[in-house]
Amino acid sequence: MNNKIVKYSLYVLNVFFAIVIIAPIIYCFNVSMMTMKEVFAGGFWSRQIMLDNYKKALQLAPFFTFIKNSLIVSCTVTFGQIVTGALAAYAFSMMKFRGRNALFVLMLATMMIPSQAIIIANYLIICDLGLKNTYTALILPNAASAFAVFNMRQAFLQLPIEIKEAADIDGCGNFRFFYSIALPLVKPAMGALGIYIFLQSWNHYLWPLLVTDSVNMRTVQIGLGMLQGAESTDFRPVMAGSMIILIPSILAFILGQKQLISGLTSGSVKG
Amino acid sequence: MKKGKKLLSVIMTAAMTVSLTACSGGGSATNASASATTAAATTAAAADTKTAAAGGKTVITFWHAMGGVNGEATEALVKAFNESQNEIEVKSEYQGNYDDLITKLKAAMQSGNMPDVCQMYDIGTKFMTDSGYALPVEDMFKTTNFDPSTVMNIITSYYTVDGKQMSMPFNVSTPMLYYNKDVFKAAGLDPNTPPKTFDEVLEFSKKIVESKAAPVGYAQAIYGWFFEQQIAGQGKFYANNENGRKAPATEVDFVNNGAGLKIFETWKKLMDSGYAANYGSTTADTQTAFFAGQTAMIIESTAILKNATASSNFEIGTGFLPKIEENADGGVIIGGASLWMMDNKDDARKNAAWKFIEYSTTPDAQANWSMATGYFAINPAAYETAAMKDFIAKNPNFVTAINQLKSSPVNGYTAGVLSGVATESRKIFNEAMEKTYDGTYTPQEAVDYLAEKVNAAITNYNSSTK
Repeated sequence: MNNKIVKYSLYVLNVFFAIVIIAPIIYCFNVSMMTMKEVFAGGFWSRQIMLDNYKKALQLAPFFTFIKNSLIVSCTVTFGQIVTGALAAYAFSMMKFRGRNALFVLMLATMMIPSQAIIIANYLIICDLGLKNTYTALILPNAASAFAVFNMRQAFLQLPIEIKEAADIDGCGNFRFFYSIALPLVKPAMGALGIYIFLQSWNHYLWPLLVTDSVNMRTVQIGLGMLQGAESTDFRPVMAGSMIILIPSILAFILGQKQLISGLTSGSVKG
Repeated sequence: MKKGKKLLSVIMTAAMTVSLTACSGGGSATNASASATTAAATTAAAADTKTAAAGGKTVITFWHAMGGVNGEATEALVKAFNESQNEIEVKSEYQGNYDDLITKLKAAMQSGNMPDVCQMYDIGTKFMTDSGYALPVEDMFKTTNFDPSTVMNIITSYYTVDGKQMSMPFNVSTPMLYYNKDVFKAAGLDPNTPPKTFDEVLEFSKKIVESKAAPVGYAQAIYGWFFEQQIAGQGKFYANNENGRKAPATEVDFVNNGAGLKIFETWKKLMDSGYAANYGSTTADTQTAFFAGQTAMIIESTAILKNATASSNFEIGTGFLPKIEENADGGVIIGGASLWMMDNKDDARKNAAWKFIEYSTTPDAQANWSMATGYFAINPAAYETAAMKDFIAKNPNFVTAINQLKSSPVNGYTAGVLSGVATESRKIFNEAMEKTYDGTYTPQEAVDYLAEKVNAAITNYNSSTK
């Protein structure tokens, strides 16, 4: 009986927090269906289903091109950071070599440099390399990150050292151990990191704006900027645009979450 | 939850820097010998190739910061120009909002990837002049027989430095008063007589709130632009050396001439009365309060008239910017942005850039631009076109904006301050105003604080440009 009360009150709490979190998104969706006067009349729900604002948003900015670009960039960046992060983290956690800790601290120290401080320098280099207005320019500076290394290292450190010792005795080489044993065990950490990197990359604004010029190389966040006016903004197309670009990031989360859960359960079964 | 997210994002930003650093290391190693000038030459060459590809046309690039409907109107203007002749092709590129655009332009100046025409907001005028990368538009007037009197004097005066017109005004606006006619009627006020002074604003607000016609009588965003406007409105200078236009400004003037104190005292009194409200420094929030009927009067840019009319569920009235006190020399300062010619050391592109700028000032182009965006037409002849006459007849509130501009005297006060630290000054103003509203500073203390901080910024700027 007591258990049931606890269970149901937890459900109620869950639903409550879910509503709190999702309400702004629902409102965003509602505004994207409203007429101009409705927005400022103060209602939460839209009185009609109307696609005019979506049409307007697509007319002001080619969102499908932007989504394609953002997908290419974000997926590559996520892949790059996970690969480089996992490989470097494996070395930092499982292999013993001189100066390992010093190198690791040095790498962590680079996390302290604010990105704004070097963004112009990076821009100049991209220009010098002749990479302006290319996917490479959008991807390259973000293809590896100290945070990914740090995050993956924490995951590898969770693994019992005995597994590694057993593998060594059985004559399993470092790469095979990394690929067949260590990596599957840190899948949940990889999933979480992947979602994070993807969303981070999806939300980039200043860097894509700097290194791209033509509209067909631009990414989604710049698309949202294109909907906003200097003195006043019609928020309805902005909300419609937000809804459009929200879909891929929600998909990324769902896909990543599946990885996350399957990783967790596979771990628990094996004990 | 939110805190955690913020922390994570901070960590992630930091993480990003690593990769950026890593990239910069590798990049400079491979290309250590390549200087910025070579890069410039390469891009110029690339542009030339494109020129040839486009069938002998001179291709020039135009950077702008116009989003939304203004962006559409900008694209329409470029398209109309491209179709009007067959020698030049303008490629317009949106580069984010005003602040993003100036960031990108600064980077482009260093790397030699400058556009040929660049839009720049009013407060970037001093930076553009000092940068040395801009070609004064006035240099083109004589060789092309351009008549500068086709553009309103009061508008070009803002973009004139040392007696020379540096850039061509593009999107122009001034602040004005917006009020809710329905509320005025309900409060027993004449809906066709807006307040002219801040004393009247207070008096009207009192009537509105006490008659319960609206919860708030008056609101204005905390915005440095409005402060600058009220200094000009009193016929006073913001900074010395005639607003920095005779020689670079070395210190602010509003503290010595008393204009600053009057403004802080007036606004503080209004806020303390309880009939006015402060919705913060985001202008969109004050707009929202007005559109939603919360407040009966606001000060806003003339450029929002279109949006305001479409958003409000009531009849909108407009009036001149309320004054602190009557003054014959006082008036409004124009704001907005102008078009700059960038020096790419290429005569063909320079001439093409000017042709485009010249086209943007023609009556038809200005009429279309003004009708689509709500900005002023800089060429008075635009108001004589049939389409514009029709438009104004349908939108009588538009006349208020034009009349206000026409009734402003052209002088050093209404030319506005020419400052290299305008962005910073406005930020400091926000701080001083907030602290006055919440009672931390008296108006006198706030003005002193503002003057001290802005003076320090000016000194710093001047020493860096010497």
